[in-house]
Amino acid sequence: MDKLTILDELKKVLAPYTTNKEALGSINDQTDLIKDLKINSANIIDIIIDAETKYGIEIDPDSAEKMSNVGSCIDVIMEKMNQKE
Amino acid sequence: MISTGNDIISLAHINVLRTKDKQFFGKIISPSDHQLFYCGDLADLPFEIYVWLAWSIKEAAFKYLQRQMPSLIFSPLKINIQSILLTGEYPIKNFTGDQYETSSFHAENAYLGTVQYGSSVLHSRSVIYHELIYSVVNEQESFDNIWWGIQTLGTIDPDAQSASVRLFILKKLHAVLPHLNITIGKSMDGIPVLLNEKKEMSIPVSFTHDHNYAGYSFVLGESFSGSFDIPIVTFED
Repeated sequence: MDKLTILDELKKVLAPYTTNKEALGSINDQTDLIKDLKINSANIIDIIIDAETKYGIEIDPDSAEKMSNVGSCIDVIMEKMNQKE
Repeated sequence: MISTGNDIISLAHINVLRTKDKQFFGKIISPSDHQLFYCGDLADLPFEIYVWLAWSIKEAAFKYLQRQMPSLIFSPLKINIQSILLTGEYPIKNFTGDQYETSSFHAENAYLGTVQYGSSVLHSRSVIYHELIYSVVNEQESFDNIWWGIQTLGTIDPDAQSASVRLFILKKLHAVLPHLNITIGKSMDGIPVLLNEKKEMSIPVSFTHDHNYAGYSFVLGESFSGSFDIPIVTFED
């Protein structure tokens, strides 16, 4: 699965947790989940669970720590998917 | 460096089923945190409330520590809850009115907690209403110098919520320290700071908001000494 596909799917994962739909429409690697998308820190756990379920992966606490922006989320998802293969 | 951290959780917006799922709560509470739930004082709490109580304590601890370690990233499983105790009966009440603010936790039958991150051991106080959980973390066991407040918000817009809780605390600060011209700014690390005449004050402050509730905490002793050009002042409670 390529990065653009994951980015597109990640938008759908993030959508329920942000009220900033305008920022969601123009996300890029640097988009910060909390500062830019105004996602509540508690919802980061929801996003991790949703990603785990969607991709059949497990995201450990050290990897979860890295998921502060869109680019790092994609990197962690791709890394875990590669480990699964 | 003295600090403060607080956190609020709107209980109407937690996902109870998801919270009870091990895949979810296992990312918030460690096995040792989980064991505490079965010890004495907490047995009467619904498990989902315990999970979010633990979250609020850990997030408040993170905010406390972030002032000292600006690069710290919140990782709930790396902050361990060592104990959560109740000092007496704890009938959970409704949060009535638009706001509540006070100093210390003497008027509340709060949950007393101890949390540890690395070599740091911190203390927490938490209050639980049917509508919300609110926690404050402090380095000292005494919370006599902790001022805190909770308010109901009329907006879900995050920026408007931030503005509302800032106005809330400024009203209190202007009442407590009327001779100072206090405003709120941010440090280079993005941490909220209080300013007097645009100079940073040595009163640590923390903000929190979640859905329709917001809160603040700050530390102010009976004899407050500003760290810059602020003269020593006293106030009456």
